[in-house]
Amino acid sequence: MKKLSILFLLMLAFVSASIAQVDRSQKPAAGPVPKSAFPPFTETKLKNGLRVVIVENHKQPIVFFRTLILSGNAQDRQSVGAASTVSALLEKGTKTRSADDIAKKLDFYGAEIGAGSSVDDINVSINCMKKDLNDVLPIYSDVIKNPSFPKDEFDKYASRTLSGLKAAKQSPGELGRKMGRKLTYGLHPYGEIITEETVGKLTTEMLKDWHGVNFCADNAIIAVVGDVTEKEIMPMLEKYFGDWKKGARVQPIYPPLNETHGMTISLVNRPSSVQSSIRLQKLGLAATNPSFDKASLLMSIFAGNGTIGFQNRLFQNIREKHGYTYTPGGSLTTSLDRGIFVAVAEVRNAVTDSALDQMLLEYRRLSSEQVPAQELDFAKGLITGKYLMDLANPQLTSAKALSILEYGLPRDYYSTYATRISGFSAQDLQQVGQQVYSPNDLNIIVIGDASQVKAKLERFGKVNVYDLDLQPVKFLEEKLAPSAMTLDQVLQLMYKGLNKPALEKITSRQTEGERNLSLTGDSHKASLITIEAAPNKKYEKMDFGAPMVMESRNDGHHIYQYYPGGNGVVNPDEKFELARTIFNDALHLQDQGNTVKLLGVGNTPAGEAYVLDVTKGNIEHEKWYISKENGYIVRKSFLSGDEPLTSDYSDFRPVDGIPYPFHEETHGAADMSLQVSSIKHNITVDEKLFLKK
Amino acid sequence: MKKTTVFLLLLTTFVAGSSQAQGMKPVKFEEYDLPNGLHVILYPEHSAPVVSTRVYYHVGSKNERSDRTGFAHFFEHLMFESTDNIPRGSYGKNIEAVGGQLNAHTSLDRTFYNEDVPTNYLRLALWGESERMHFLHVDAAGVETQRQVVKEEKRNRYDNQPYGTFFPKMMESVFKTSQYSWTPIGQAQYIDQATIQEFQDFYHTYYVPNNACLVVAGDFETADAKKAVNDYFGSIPRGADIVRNYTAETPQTSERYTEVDEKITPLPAVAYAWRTVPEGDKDQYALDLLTNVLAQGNSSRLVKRLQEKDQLVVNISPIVLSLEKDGVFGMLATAKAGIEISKVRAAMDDEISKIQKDGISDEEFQKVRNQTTKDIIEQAANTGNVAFQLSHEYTLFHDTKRYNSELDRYLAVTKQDIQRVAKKYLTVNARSVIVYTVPKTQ
Repeated sequence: MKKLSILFLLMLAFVSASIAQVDRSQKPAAGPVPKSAFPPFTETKLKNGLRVVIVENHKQPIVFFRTLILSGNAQDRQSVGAASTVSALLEKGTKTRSADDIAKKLDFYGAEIGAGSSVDDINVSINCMKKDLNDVLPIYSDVIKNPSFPKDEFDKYASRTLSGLKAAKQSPGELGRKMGRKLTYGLHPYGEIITEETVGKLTTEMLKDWHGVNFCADNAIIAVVGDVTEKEIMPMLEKYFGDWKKGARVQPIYPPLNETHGMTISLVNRPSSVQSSIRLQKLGLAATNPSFDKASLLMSIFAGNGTIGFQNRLFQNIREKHGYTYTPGGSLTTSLDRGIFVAVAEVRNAVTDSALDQMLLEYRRLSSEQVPAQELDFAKGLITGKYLMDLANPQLTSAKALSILEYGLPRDYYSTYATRISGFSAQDLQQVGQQVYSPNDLNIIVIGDASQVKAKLERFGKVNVYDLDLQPVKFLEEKLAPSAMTLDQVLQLMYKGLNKPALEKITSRQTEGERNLSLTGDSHKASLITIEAAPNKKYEKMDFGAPMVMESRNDGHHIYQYYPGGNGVVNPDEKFELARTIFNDALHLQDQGNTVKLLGVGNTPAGEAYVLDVTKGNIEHEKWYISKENGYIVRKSFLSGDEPLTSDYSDFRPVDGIPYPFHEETHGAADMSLQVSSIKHNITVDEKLFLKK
Repeated sequence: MKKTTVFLLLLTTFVAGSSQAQGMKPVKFEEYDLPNGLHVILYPEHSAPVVSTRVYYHVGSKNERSDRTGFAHFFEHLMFESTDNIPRGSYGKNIEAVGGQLNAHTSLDRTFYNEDVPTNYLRLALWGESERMHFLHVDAAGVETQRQVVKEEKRNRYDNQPYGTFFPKMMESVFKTSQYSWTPIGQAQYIDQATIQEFQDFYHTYYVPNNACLVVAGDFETADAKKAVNDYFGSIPRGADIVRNYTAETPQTSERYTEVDEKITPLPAVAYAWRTVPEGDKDQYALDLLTNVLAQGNSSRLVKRLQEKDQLVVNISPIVLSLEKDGVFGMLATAKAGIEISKVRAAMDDEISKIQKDGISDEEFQKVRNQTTKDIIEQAANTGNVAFQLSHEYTLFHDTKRYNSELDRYLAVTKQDIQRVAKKYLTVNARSVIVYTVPKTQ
């Protein structure tokens, strides 16, 4: 015996020595992609209509069950939160068993029930030893068929939910998810948000009703994965689920969704955040959309799609290259109706705008260019690899088999998955990128300290501010730093910026330019002429192309307006506008009837600025922002009237030695911009222009 | 024909109560040694297109010098640095880029490395493992990087975590003479003091094929796997035979008490710990089941009594440590704010003495058998886990097939055994008591 083994060893040594050395310097190439081995599954039915999916896996004598109720949070309608509460309370008591009995009995067999809800469904799972099936299945089927929703357990759960909601208000992730859902789905049932108010309204009666309507044999599918054959398990299922009442398949009817159109910027103000959580979000695709897999592959290239990867573009750009964040990520969610596209990064306050720049840049590459071959191959390798790895997890396999039935995917959807993904070309992806990731249709959501980041975000467009209850904030209390300069010093700085001696010599001015007005996502262009004369007269003409021409004539006492259908109408709300119109107003802030105070130092898109509180004619209230750097007036907020407006001024150029802003961005009741093309001083003014026609 | 049936029936009766009757399906594998001493175990299992490798080195913190603790764990980190053919920063990425996953772990007895990859990347995994078995760069750059990483890990997981120092404190108390008196995280200063030469010596002593067991498990063809193993590991030279020094622990004669004052302790806590038996000892199985009776799960005795009935503790968890040369049994309870530790101890003492006096009920006995059976079978369904267990059985017992009878050894434990070990080991004189106090408010 001993001799033999020595001989064997010698032989082995010989064999190994005779084999040519492998080249260690080369990373071994991949073997052929395994034929996708999605396990075959059987689909059958109980007499009462309960559909059954069986995936045999005889590795060890254990069996896993996952029951899917084909109704989820989207079926809550009048009872918001019912589906998630029902799923949480299933094992907290049935008509014949107490919560304690259930827990003890399951513990005895080492079995554990898991349950949860999503927008489309509720899942209830358990696993146990094959030999214990007849002890565990009666309990498992009982909690599904006959939960009693005891009042005390319901109250405990409600109070846990309330403390969870309280904590969620401080969690940037939760705030972002909720804000995103609100913006993406609006009134669609996927937009449901659980609040203190909805928790208060929910009753155990509602849960019983919800359960009664939705938990029916023909509105459910049960998946069995493990060491059983169809012949073994069907009689048991018939025994424990055969008496489950038939109801009706609850067909979810979803109202049509509004495409994410145009760009919005929503800032959820979370005071004293040191980080901003930036979220790009828009409507994605339904699970059955033929472009889904391509959009999903593209999503992996962009932001990793649900897993932390080191190779995706967001990671490479904002973490590796710029060091703005630790782990950016994103995903394209799967659901019956359209899911969401979302990419998230948490960054320091100071780099909020720079990080958003990079995120937008990477997002726009999805539609503007083709994915380079090497990057595409890498992504395909990663995705197919992960898919193959997941097949080792029977629970995931059952969820996949169930999704085929739930969403109505092709039966070979998973068995052809790897080969399908491998076949996508860069052209295919760009085409889908243009459809799904259109460059200017996006909701940008930032959770952060508005006093620190709002100004930085304003260069991307109008910023809508929300509070921690996700309610719009009309006017944001600004956090200002104390000023080291006095009011007088600030005014001197401003005069220097205006070139006061030159400005004092000007008595009239004609400005021409192009105005861009955006209304509900559409933008309109107009040419603009303004003629102003001392002390307070102003003529303005906006020409959108005939017949859309608007004129406004201000003679210092009234403002007359001319537009198609309006001929000389007096502006009914003219008092603010009249008070506002003072020729070269910056030189008259301390005249009688006007006041000016120094508030402190604030932030603007043009950097730090002294903030002046200005009132004109005792009624017009404005804030002016004087750039610390050069004394230019870089921002004005007009606070009187119903709708505050903020204008930011940039592109300063000298005209006769006087610096004027040639660009203006206004946000508030209306979003508009102005690009000035020429400014002329001391022109010959036709006084008739200011008078009623 | 008839004879066979009768025979089978007899056989069934004979094995009733054994794992086969409970249904655990034996794992089929083959094993052999390469001429350089590397032990190879192949476990083909084709249910998913995934293959797992486990490389189990028989080196842990007990192989360290007492003035160089932390070495074994430090090496676990160094093994992700560079090799002759794998540049720094690439080791993990090579695996993750194909959808795979990898990790490593160091205990008092061994260090193991695991990789799970799609089956068409078996050679990639083997290449990487063979590279770091012999071609690792043990140089200043890698050592310096990992020094920082390991110190950070020690700060985060041990020093700045409430009760993070518990494991080292417990081992210091239970073991006085053996190499088990320190734990893998070790003392930071030793890693700083060590020279590059010392790191290289450690590598060349322990990271050799004759001190390792390689398991390949999952979806592969045996012939391909054998060839790949030989291609990558065959040429690695055998290392010198390893001299293992182990100082046996001297028996404890009186109770040991340790009080830990740390600023970050939020709630008072108390632990009991006893030295028991090495892994594989018959009493180990009874002690494991006793752990379940006492402190595993919501229906265990200590949880029911201290957490639910008396409301003395926030949680209570079992401590069970099976080591190559020894073992530890115990429990750690975190008291509720304002609860005296003496009250917690009185309740713990009471529950322990009840078991010593009256034993356990039939229902409890059956429950812990059920739970253990399910645990073991569930783990047997996980290919990567089986792979690890096979390498473990081989390294500790040189008996890989022992894995298939592990459940039998648990099911052979009787109710009386459980009571007996409770009496034999859980004595006051053999006990270590560790108390965490809450800092007094100024």
